[in-house]
Amino acid sequence: MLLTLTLPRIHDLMTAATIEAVYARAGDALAIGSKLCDLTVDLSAVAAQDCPPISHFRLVLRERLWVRDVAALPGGDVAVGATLMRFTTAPDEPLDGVPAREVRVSIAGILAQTDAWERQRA
Amino acid sequence: MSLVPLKLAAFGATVPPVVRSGIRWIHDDGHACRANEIVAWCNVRVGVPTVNGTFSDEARDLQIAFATRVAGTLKRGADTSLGGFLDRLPELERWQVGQTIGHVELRAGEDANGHALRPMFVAGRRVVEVAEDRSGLLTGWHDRLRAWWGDGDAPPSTLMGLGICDQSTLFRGDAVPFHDWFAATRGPAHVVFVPDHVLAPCAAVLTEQLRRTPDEARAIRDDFTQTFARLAPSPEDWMFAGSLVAAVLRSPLGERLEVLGTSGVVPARGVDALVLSVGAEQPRLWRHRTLGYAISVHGYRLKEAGPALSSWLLREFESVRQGVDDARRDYDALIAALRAHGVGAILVMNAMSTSSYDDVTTYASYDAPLSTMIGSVRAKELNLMLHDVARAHDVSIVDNDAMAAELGAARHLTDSVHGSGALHAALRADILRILRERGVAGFEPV
Repeated sequence: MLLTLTLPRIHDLMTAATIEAVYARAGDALAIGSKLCDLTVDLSAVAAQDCPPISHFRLVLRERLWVRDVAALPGGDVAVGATLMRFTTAPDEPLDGVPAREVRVSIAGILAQTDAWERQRA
Repeated sequence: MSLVPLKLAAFGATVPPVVRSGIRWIHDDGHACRANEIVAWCNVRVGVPTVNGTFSDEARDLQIAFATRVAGTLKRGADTSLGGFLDRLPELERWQVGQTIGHVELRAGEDANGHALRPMFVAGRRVVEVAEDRSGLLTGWHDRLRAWWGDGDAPPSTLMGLGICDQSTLFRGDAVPFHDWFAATRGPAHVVFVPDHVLAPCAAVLTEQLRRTPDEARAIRDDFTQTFARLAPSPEDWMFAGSLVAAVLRSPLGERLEVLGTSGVVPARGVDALVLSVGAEQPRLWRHRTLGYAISVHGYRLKEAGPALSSWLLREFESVRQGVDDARRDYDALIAALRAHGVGAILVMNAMSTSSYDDVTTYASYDAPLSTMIGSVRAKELNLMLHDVARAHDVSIVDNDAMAAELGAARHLTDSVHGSGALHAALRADILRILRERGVAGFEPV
């Protein structure tokens, strides 16, 4: 069965996110609880207040699956609904069908693990 | 029906001349006033020129708001408001004790003794003097805001809020600045709020501010002007960095504060009660590589800063992780410094520790310690740490976490930091309860 992970709308006003880290690699067999990717959601443009809500989230897999391809790239901006990864329930299933459903994930608000400026320096 | 005059109060025999602007009325003629409602204000200046530094750093944003002691119908005095700059600049005329600026018409059968006007001072210290905004009551860019009733003859007790934006509208209130505090307390009371526009008031920063010597401050200032100038900063970079370093070099807890009342200009006794925010303890702070001082800036502020500031921080500072144990150590040091400085009751607002965005099914997906990874876990551990601090140092916790949950955080604390008016009213009431239990004078119920 082909499954897909698209960028979920975590916040009502969110339209996009920045991919901070991608943990899943094509070909990996992932267990429940595997890290998939970290995101930053910056609502500065839609919530123009003194303390613009900039939040960081981690998406974690809630089922056993094989990663088949990964479209998300660290540093890339993606729109809500854009495909981040595709998965299958068996390692060698074809990828040309229509995804049966969204992959099941859990989401947690995380603290920024590296400062954006530290990344610049690196 | 009887008319009770609204007369300008006296401010002691030794007070230098006070000049004022025209009266800016909040309400129209015929408005039904509640007792203690603010109905108007004017800008004032004490001393022409300012004498002996009295209110010198607040001279441009010193105002008196007028409350009525009694309920009734407002009757505005004719020609008290001339509009335009004459109602904004405090040079229209000298303060004339006993001058009647209006009346309150009591309801039939009601009576009142004397006059009805009660003055409430508000004062803002501008971040820079060009931050001009006289459009309203206590408007503008201020690094310190405060208020007190001007009719007491005893030095007031001082309550200071020194937190992040979880305290901003809590202290200032929704309508007339600070009035919610005074409407609920007998006085004499003095309420001060220090906003965190650039520098987050974490425990490490506050302790260093209290202990910093003039020589150390001079070294920081000199180093900043030399090292920052080498980075070809834009004017915007200079303004951002300048306001940041100016905030580092101030110590709000060590500043001399004066109030004006019927006994004239009297010094406040110090800080009788202080409210901190545990939310100021961020996961990282910047530590200067050679001078050793700390800077804590919210991440969203850093995002807004220009390239020169980022270069300056990256070159001159080390980014240091702050775990919950580090926060505990910093709180211990801060409380020792506060006690040595004579600060009275210490209250700390805890953090909202539940996130509606979290859906954690296993902690195995997150590196240990969880408090460095998951925001809600860090908030919970900081809140627990506060209980240890409270036991060890006789500190009171203002339970923002529980009150937001009780009211419904989805409605009253939607982003975990910025609360509703109802939540702030509940927090204000809890702060007053704590002050009363601790016997802080001036904050007893009306």
